Amino acid sequence: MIVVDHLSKRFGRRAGANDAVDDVSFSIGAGEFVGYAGPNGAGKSTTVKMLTGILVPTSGTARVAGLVPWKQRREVSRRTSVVFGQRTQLWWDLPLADSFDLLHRLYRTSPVDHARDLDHLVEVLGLGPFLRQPVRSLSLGQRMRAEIAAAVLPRPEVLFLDEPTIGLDVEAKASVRDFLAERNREDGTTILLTTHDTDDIVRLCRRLLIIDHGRIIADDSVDAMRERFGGRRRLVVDLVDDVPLEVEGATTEAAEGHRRWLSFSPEDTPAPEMVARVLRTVEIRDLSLEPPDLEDVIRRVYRGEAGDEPT
Amino acid sequence: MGDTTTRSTLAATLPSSVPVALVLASASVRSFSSSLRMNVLRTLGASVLVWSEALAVIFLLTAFDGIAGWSTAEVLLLLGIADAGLGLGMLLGEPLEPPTFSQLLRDGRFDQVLTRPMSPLLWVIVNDVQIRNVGRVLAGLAIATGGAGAAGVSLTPAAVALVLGAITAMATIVVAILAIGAAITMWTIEGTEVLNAFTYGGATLSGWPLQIYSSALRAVFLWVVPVGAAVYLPTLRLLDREGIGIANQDLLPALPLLVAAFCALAVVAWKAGLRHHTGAGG
Repeated sequence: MIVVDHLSKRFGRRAGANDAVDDVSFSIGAGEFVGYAGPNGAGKSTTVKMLTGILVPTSGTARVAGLVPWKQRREVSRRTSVVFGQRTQLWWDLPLADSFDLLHRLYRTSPVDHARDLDHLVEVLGLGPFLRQPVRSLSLGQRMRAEIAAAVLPRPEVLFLDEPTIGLDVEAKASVRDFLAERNREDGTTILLTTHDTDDIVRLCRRLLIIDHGRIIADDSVDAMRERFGGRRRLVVDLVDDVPLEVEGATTEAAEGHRRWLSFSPEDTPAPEMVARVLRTVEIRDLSLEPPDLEDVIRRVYRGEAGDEPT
Repeated sequence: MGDTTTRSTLAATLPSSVPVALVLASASVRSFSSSLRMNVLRTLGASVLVWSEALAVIFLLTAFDGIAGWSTAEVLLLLGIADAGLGLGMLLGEPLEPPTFSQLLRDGRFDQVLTRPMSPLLWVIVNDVQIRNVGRVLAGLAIATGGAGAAGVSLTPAAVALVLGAITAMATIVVAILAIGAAITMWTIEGTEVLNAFTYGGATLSGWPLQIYSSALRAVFLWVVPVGAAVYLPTLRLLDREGIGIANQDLLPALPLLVAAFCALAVVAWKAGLRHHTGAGG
């Protein structure tokens, strides 16, 4: 669905000007939900802008739904949608319902499909109470749910999301994430999610691309990346008695009542062996193995601390 | 149509067969009505500016008994057409002016425009129609009508068509100038006020007979930025007057070509601007 081939973008022609995106290549299949992470200024948004036809690349090529975005911008925009978290695509002074109606006319969706989709979106995203309010009067959480609805109303094959949960409270984040997961699962919409929020990636994406200084430095499944770059793992143990706990190869990071947080290196001691050691050492009530923190994983990828070459 | 769609006030008033550009323009007019009192005052203000220009012409030319062989009424006809054309051009093209367009680029709204299945130029124009310029258009029309009447021009259908054609040509050139300016803004981001010399300056200049200008200036406003041709040539035909040099009634059939050539230049500049667009930060 998305094929990127040696794509580069350089701003300015002066000697020493850096490539915001430098020789990036990847492909994303139909129905994939892919996270795109990287520090500020790494080239995430520039990539998305080239894939949506906003920017023309300096070199390389890309195809989205078989089309070259900067050459077939209008055709691409009929088959894709983009949400920039901090910018609105709605009409500021008009009631929200009017924005949806304008989008229906603009994308020439069938009246029956539009009405059915809108009814569904109003229900699942809870838009009903503020449909008649001008967009400028909506809270950030309400507006972001409206932005997501506006993005999916034209039934895009590909959805580009640039920080869609930025600034949202816990409830609004959950609502947006649940909706996106449903959309990807039920309709097979291909989604590229640009975010700093690793919770978004953990909850939604099966695959993660990491970009830094304009270059892709990792491209793998989230699980494989955790495996490769995970570093120390964490074991949470609830003891029957409040006794000191010492396990060979593990460090006690924290203790609270009967609960202990142990960390260990899976390279030195595989997780099953560490669990067995705990069980041999002390009587326990419960035990859980936490996955490596993705933020820590990404940080390690930036620093190139572990793992193989990007695939 | 489902229940939620009928909640849209647009759907209730504009059938789905109405072209989307007109619906967007209508939405922008609705925004105008959200602060009606202030916008009505601004519309009147635009009109007062044109009337004060006309009064200045009347006072000045009555004292000198015309200029370069043109009577006060004939100059008012020129002035009215030029101002109505400028007003119509600004009604559509004002969002392309440097401060507004530059802001559109900086806050990323233009990036959003580029993700729509519509011409970005048309989107920018219809999404922010500046209704207050209607004041300038109406004042210009009134002054042109008054000037034509006083100059003895009969308001035949052909004369009305000629006046409306001249206004449309002037408006088209103004929008094209503003589009070139917007293309430059895509390079500089900050924009440049230089092109105001051709929009406001061009309208002021074409509100006077071309005889009073140097041949170099006449050439610029006839052949390069043809605002002079748009107003002067149709007025010569209306008044059945001799022009100056090649700028004569015989050149009138070439006016659509001059306008089309200038628009083609604007389209080339706009497309080059889009290719150079660097997007908002982030």
